[in-house]
Amino acid sequence: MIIPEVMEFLRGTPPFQFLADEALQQIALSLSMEFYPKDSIILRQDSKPNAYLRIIKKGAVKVLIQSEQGEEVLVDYRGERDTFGLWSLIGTDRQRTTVVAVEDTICYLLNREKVLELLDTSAPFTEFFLKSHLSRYLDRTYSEMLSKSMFFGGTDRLLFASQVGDVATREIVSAPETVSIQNAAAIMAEERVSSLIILDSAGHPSGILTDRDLREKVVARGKDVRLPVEHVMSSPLITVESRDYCFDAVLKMIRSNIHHIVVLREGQVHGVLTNHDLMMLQGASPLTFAKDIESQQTIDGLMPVSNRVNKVIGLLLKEGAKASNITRIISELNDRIVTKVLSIAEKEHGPAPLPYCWFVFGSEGRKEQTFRTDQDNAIIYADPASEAEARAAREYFGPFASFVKDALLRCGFASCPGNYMASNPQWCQPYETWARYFTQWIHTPTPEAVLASAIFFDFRPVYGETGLASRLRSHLTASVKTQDMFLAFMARMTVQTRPPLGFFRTFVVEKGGEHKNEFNLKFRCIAPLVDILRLASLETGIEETSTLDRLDALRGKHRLVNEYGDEIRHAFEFVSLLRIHHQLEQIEEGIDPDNFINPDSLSHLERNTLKESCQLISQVQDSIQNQYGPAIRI
Amino acid sequence: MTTVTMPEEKGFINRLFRGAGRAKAPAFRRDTDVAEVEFVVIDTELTGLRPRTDSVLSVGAIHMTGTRIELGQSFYRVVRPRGEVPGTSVVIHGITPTEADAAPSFEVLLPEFLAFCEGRVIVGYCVNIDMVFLNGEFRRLGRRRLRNPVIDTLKLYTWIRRKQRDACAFDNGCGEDMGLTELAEKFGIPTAHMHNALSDAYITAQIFQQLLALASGYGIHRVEDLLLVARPD
Repeated sequence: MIIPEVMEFLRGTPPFQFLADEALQQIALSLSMEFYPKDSIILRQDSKPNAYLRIIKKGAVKVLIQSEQGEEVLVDYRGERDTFGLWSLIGTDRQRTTVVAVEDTICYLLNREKVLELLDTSAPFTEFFLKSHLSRYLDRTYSEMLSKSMFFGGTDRLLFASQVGDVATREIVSAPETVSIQNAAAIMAEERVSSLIILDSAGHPSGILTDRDLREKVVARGKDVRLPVEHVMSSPLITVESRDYCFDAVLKMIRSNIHHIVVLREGQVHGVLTNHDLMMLQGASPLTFAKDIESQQTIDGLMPVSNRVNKVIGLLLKEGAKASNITRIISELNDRIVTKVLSIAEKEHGPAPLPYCWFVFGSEGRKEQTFRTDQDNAIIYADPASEAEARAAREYFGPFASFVKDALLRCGFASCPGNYMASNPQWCQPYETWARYFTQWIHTPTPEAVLASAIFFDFRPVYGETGLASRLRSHLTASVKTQDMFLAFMARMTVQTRPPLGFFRTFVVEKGGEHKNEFNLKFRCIAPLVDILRLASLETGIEETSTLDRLDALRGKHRLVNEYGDEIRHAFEFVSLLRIHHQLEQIEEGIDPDNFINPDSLSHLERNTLKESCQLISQVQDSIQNQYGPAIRI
Repeated sequence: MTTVTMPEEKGFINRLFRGAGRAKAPAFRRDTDVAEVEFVVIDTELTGLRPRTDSVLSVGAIHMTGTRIELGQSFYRVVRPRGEVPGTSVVIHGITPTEADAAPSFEVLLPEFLAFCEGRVIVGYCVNIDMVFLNGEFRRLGRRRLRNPVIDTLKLYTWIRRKQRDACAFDNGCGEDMGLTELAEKFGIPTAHMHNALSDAYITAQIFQQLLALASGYGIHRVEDLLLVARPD
């Protein structure tokens, strides 16, 4: 009656519920049972790796991670029928987390061999653990703390974190079954591929011909090369779904002793994954990527490289990178693309008649871009000495800017709906005009002027004569500091949009429409934080444009930052990461990314952290309101 | 399990181990950490309580590695008793006279049972009774009595209670004559199939597991400590 009881329990416990009775019985027989009194430490971080997957039969545990700074952070609570210890078990080098019983707890212990066997043989089991545990462990709030190779060293981690579809070679070469071996080999040589997908008369993939087939079945056996290829191809096809993790593919490849596996997406051949692709997985690093950009000479060559940026974000996220690091790397890559586009444009249009600087603003200016955002750019050029020079400049920079806009468009940067682009003559001007724009906005702070200021004042140079942008920055810093009226308007804008937290600490969400039960995270949480730091920087004369750089520069110089600095940093990192995760999820589902979050879809921990972040924003906004007084009451 | 030569001057524990050491297989290091000791938690159902006339009706046992119960490593056999199965006891253990008559004699299961206990410290609730009857069966078969070290969970529980009471003068609990059911309930262990030898052994193992956790709080870390406080009288 012991084993039937355990089986009954497992039947109600994911993912064991998916297993057949026979498999369940085998598992039950291999289990041992352990009792942990309340407050006892079940697993200790950095100790020897644990050898068991623990399934909570009764009780509850909390999972803690100690950062390098020695700070213990609560990562999760687990209750009855939850499991813990999987990743440390697979990792085998050391225990990754500390697990403490929060009440008297009884666990079933499933040994490592059995877990690996299940991962290897049971698809539902693998899927459950890879998907639920991966998202739970790697994609959550404190994943940044895990970034220092907490989970898997190097490639291992990528194997677990990358989906087959992202890694596989997409260009597939196919041929009908009736083609001769010789012709098939000729196609492979011609296309420089190591595998050829063979299609049956209905056009469905029926097999694959690889270099190895040619070597082992044709050359070594002296096979007549005029025979149809179906005689030597590998069949049936071994396939993997494009959404599967590379780990699944590796398991299948090892099991079948093959080096090529066909990737399917919705029943269609999507690509081929080779062991070479898997080796190249390490090459999916931002560094390799930057080199790729560098080596392109044409817009056509740049396009495919550029469109891979989103994948890099996915990988970075899954590696547990901090939000601020991700956005910085992305900005760096985007800057390189823009630089490349500009240098190609210069080649096409000849040298510029006057020194100029290409600058960006908005989120690009703050280096806070995530997934490809709109183009926010402008040109500032040296003041022309004569009307002839002015005309020459207009005639040059107009078509030049249009070329760049189109090129960026093709590289995946959407054009700006507000037309804040260098291709708009208004934003392609000599220094003098720019200085006048800024002065005007500051002295006559109409709502439009304040809005423009919020967008443009986060500018930074990307290409060309950066001295022009620096001069403009100095001009801005000097002009704004004493303009209390303008600052008051900025302050008013900063406190206008409140975080979505109701009186009883409940989230205020949309009551209807497309985004019912959701709220706009960018508008309600990220923008206020950005605005707060921009205001503080303008007040203090700080020239940094990134929110977190501003925060660092303002330490010791600004009251609000002195008081709330660390909390603001944490909140900003958290909401940014939340947004990136949300958008990545959407992209992976094939939806256009937006900023609408449903608080109910968050974990308990995330929800609480978000509430705390919202409260902090509110508090800082109140403080600004008090400082500026009734003048900015709305 | 490695055999070591015991120093001569140690007290009864040494004698205990020496006895075990002389028998062929079971050999215990008295300073083994509780977490590494192999235990076998046993229970028997009997036809009655008089050792002369009554006999073993079923044997249940489950293996523990340290504090871990090995759920797949259990032992359960119904035994053909020497005498009649009293009809009145059927309601308790659920073994009918027909079932008992069809079962093999104790002699048949003896090798299996010995193999299951080999190298393991025997644990049971009021284990003296089980040991008396088991050794009785052994003696009748001309076999030596079991030499394994033995631990009584009720004794361990009573010892822990006394420790707790020392710490709290107002403790009104009374542990000494707790039945297995009460004990199980006290520790929150479900008692669905009581009076089946394996089920009772399993319940006893779960109680023992919790007692070990408590005992370690009173400095019981090695098997010799455990034997000192929980060896049956």
